[in-house]
Amino acid sequence: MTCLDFRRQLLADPYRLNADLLEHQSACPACAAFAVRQGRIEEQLQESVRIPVPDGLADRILLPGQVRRTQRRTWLALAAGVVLATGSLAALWPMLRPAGFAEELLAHVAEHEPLELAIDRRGDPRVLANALSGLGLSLPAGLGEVRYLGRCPVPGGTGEHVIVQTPLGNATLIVMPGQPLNSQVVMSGRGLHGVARPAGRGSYALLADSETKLAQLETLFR
Amino acid sequence: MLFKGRRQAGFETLVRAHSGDLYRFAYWLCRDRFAAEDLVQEAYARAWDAWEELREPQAAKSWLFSILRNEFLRQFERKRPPIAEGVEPEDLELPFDPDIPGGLALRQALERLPETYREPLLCQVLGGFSCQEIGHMLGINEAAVMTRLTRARKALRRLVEGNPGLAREEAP
Repeated sequence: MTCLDFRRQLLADPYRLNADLLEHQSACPACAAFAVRQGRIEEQLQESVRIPVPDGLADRILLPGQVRRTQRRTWLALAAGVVLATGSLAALWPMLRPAGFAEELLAHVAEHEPLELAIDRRGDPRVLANALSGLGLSLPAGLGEVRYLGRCPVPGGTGEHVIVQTPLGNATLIVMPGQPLNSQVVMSGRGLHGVARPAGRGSYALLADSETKLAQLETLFR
Repeated sequence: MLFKGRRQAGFETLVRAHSGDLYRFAYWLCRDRFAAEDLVQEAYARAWDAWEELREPQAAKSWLFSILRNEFLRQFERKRPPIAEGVEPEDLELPFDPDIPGGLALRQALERLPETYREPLLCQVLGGFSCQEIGHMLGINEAAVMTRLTRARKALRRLVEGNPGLAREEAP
């Protein structure tokens, strides 16, 4: 076995080293060092891919009815009909019921942000820039370091969820291109303060755990 | 009745044993944690329906990974740009930002890895599957899997070696 063969096979599957590979490794110090280094990279790789799993995932899958596909399909077919009939209403839901919209937004941020911060996904800034430009906005300079950027379900549709690190701590921006609002919605609850504002054909929300931080964030968007 | 009970118990064992890794696999495929949970739910629903097809219990994990991947392709096929088949450069280059901390740089590199490379790598790192098993799951031969894994790891290795943050973490 040549050093090239050894390295190719090690990189293809470092978890299964056969007798020939092990023999070469013990006889060749350069390849042994290469293998040690690869082992460390594998540890980092294992750590990187093992993102946190949501609490109670297995229990939710095992909930009675979750695996009854036939029943589920029937319901889905019925639901699809209802959705088709009321699809446009769903997107208007924030406008029709702003208090419920605010409650859901606060609950979403309070319940999901700890996991989002643990995932530490900083996403694609172009996606955020596109979503903001669709609302006639741009990413303010001095917004802070993005700690998380990902798509999330919001009342009436989906949004781009951004957690930024400001000098005062973390704060949240949710861009909702498909959820129009009639007027500004001020919200408070779950240890959070926030404001949602109409913009273009959609809206955006700013949330923080203190009014001072929220006010600071708001100045960037004025 | 007894069969139904056994099926339920077997299914529950599979959910408790593999839902975490399936969720992670789903997340790295679609990079959306809400869509990932939906994919896992759907994959298990399909596994329940197709329970009779699981002949070897020791192959359950690869069976579930395959179901989830098929579900991902079914749901996301129309949304993603077509992959240029046969384009497999000898050296895969992954850009990195020197200002980003090490662990995050590796995560971002994984996100930037082309899907044809990321999929087999995830199957191996998360699922612990051999190149042959991955070949069966992805519908390609073992040699092609080995080539893709070698190139993916070479690209990640170059990134680690070029990133001072990662190199520091790597030092003994």
